[in-house]
Amino acid sequence: MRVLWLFACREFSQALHNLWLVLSVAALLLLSLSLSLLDSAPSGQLAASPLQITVVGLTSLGVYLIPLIGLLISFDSLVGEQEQSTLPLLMSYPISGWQLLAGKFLGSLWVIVIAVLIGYGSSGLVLMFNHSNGTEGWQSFVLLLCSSVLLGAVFLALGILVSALANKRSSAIALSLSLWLVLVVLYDLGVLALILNSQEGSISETVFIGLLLSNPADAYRVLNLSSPDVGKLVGIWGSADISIAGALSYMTLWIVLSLWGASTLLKRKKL
Amino acid sequence: MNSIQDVSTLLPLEALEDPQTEPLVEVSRLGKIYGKHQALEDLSLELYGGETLALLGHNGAGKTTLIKLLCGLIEPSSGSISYHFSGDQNWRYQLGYLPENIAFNQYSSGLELLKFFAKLKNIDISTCTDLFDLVGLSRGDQQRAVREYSKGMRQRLGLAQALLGQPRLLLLDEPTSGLDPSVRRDIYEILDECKRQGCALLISSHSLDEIENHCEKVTMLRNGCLVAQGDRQQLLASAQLPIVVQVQCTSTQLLKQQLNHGSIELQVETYSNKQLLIRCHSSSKLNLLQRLAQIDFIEDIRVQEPGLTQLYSHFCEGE
Repeated sequence: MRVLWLFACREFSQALHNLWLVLSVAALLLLSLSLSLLDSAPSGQLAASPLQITVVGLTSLGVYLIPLIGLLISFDSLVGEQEQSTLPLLMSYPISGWQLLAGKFLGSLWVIVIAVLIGYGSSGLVLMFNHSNGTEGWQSFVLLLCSSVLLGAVFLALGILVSALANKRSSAIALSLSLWLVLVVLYDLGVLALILNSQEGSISETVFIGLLLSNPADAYRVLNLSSPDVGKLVGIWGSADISIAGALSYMTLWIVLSLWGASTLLKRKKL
Repeated sequence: MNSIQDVSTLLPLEALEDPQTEPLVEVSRLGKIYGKHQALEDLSLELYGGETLALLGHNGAGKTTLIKLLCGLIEPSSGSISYHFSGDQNWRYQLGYLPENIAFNQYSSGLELLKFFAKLKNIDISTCTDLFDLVGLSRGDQQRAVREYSKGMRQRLGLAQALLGQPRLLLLDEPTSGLDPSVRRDIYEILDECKRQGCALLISSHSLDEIENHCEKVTMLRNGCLVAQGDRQQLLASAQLPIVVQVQCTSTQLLKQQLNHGSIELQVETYSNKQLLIRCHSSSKLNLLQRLAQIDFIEDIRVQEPGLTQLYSHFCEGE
């Protein structure tokens, strides 16, 4: 644990120097405050609190931004050390590969946690204090904060996996962006195409939900958009019967498998 | 730099009682293959406390591969490495490694970096400032970011991190490459003191003239294979390399004629219009010098004994 903590502090310190923390906080803060200003005047027949509307907006846009932040923070965590020739000296010390990986993951995760808490949390506070029904739907907002951190953690772990796989930073950034494109953008199109081109009833709701939960970005959407508070606002997303524990388990599995894969690849890395 | 006596507080406090009886490291028939390339083949050697082993060879001979195997950075394809350090600590705690062209995270200060490495080895960070003093980095240098360091300063910092935790084994890959003569001298002073305190040192270097005065044993590699190994003096004696006598005289032509009439087997080469280079077996050295002393038009004589450079050429280049 001592070594893990050392690497976590080192990684967090690097994120401070590289301005990743500042940029992440700024990006999420701008996004959330913009949305909260736009969504803070609910009208029409759907009586929903500003918080609930903001959750929908932040989920829809955060699913693009948070994975990108996670990948960009972590894509060069190992390959960067390899290119700078600092990795061999580190590995000559009495440490193990998993301590290095877990420490880097933890240190980068602090960046995500702080960015989400400040970025999203501040908009929640603004809404709560500026509206008479500002606290309605606070459970959904808390779920949004927690699931956003988890989403960021998934893509941090994926970024570390990419970093272990690649031998050059240029390859790592290309792989990371491709991963983001596939998981965040193209996967849904693929699922939609599959549904549209399949015979009616051939894909059950269970299979459909399984397909969604297999993708961490969709698991994040499902988590936040299917809760009772928010589900009424989002049509099909709200009608899915999703277990929060199930969605969280899938996302956690992504983290575990990615870090395990990175650990295996690190052992084969040419030092 | 601090007095070299200060090194003793930062190095193994107890020299080995009998450093020659048991090696600290035993390498047995070590091999490493990268794909289809045999980087190292069937190499065996031993490292003893209180000795410096010079690891020599051309670029790509396998020197860095051997050092990385000893550090545990890569796994051998065949053979084994055994460490015989005292105490219960994992052998990595008793190892100091200085890689070639050492690199650090550029935004940290020297002191922050050394403290980080000290914490990795679970060492009291208060020793860091003493190590900085030892390697000749000032208090001001310690606080500066590493990106502002010169190559010599980075190498001093690298040596400081290698000395963390009183290592019993130091593995140094080109420790003086690209450094000015004064820094080289300082580094070897520290390494010699480490040796006197009982460390086993393995130094890979292309600066043969420099390392010659600091090593007791030599291991030479060529294309991943061992070509020579052993005590430096014994290797020189067994190679029977010729000595070179550089003679300055008023007439090289006349000197050549006189030398041709002798019974000693000589190889004479014109060095310049006033100088000859004479090569002969070391057993003929005294006879040759006696003959030269009798020639009155000789102005100066210099004798060059074969050294590590000649030994390297003999074994690694086949000369």
